[in-house]
Amino acid sequence: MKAGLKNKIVSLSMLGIALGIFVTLYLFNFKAINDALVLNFSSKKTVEQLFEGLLNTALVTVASFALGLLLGMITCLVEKIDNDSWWMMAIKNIFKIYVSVFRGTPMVIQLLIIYFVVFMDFTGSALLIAILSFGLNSGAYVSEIFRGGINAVPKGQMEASRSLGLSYSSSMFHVILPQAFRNAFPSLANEFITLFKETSIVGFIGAVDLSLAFRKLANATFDYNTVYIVMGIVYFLLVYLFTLLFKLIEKGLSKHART
Amino acid sequence: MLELKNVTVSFNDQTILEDISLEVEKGDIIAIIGPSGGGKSTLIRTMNMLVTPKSGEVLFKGEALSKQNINKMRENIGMVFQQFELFPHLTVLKNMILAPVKLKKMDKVTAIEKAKVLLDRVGLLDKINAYPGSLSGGQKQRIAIARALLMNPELMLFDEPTSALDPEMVKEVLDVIRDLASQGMTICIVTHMMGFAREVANKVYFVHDKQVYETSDVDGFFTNPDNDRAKDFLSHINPNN
Repeated sequence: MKAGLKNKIVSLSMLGIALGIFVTLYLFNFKAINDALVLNFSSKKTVEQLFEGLLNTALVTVASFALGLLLGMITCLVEKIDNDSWWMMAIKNIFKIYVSVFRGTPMVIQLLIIYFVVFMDFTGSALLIAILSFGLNSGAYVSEIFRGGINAVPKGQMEASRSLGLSYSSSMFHVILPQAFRNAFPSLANEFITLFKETSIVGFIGAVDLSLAFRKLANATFDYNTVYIVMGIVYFLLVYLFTLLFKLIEKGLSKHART
Repeated sequence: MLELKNVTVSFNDQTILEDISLEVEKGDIIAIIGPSGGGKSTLIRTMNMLVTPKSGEVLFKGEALSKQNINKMRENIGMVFQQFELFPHLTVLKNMILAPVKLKKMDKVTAIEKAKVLLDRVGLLDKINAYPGSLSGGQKQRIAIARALLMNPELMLFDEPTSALDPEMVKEVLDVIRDLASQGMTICIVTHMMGFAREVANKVYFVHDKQVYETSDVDGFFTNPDNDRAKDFLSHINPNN
């Protein structure tokens, strides 16, 4: 029997067993579990708060990922500029320091410093600061991802493009970057998922995301077991959904990959 | 047409070519041969400044190649690589028309028309919408040649165009080059195909030990070279290859 098929049978049956256990437990404790869920999640206000938290999480994740892509691309391209004037050297070094500082410290610390130290007098939304912090953090990682993606394009591609008369920047834009992006896609998808999970710390600066909405709920009902397990399941299902989605896109992208 | 004047090339203090002067004339078919690691590829890459010489000048039609004019000059110097270097994310047609359209050498409609003519000439018109990944090595290389020709170059450089091909595909690529040669294109070709070199070339550059030994007595070179190193080199290879 083929290994792929075997694996499918094993994983499906394990899923079946898990579901079976779950359903049995649910049936045995039907009333208790149902009561707990009703107690925690039945009020309209609760659902609204959770939904608002989810929206904030989505907002911070997507906006900071977009900012990270932009910053990462700029950082990566600055490094590639072929110019050794004093100014350029200084600029390149600034970007280098940026990358090593943001990769070299924990995200929570960056968030706290940016909110409580750098923007001490800032009175606007904490979400904005969260987006900025996560964007800066993500940019440092994304620049490395792009760098790897560009380096994975064979050197001959640039030479072929240049020998047709295209300039360096034209070659970069039309020949190298499209391939680099495809190389980098799996890592970028990974970065997105990491970012999504990491945004659960924005509660540190008072921004209400999905995890803080759940925590507030648990604090109100004192039913930590139910609320935290549901929170875990919600995060897992969302990440699983993203993974499936990215796999699908990746499949489409690799259709015309190098052979 | 193309002239090297006292060109020295070195990488990290290691000299690859030393004080080379030579001239490629219009209509020349030049076979660049020699032992591996001798600098053949470096020589042909210097001709369109993919390799920048440490000293000396490369002149194309009397004008020195420089950082400022290099893109313009390269439009007239086609190059074909050992590894084909088609752009895998673009179809055959888009591979071909990318440069001429972006560089405003021709409008898109004209470019597509001319691309079709060239594809027909290399026998691959039916692959116009295929992606490089679905083509054989020989097909890829013929398309790489067509892509270079679409820029309407006056000089074609070939860097070991058949070295990465399976044996049964060598002929189809050599036929295309042979066809180009018979139409009067100026060609420089780095090759290990001695039979082919002897058949089409009117000059041989034998590259070894940082020097280029030049001769226009092609038959004489292959039967009884007056260069000792060349004699030694030729005695080690299969003459029917």
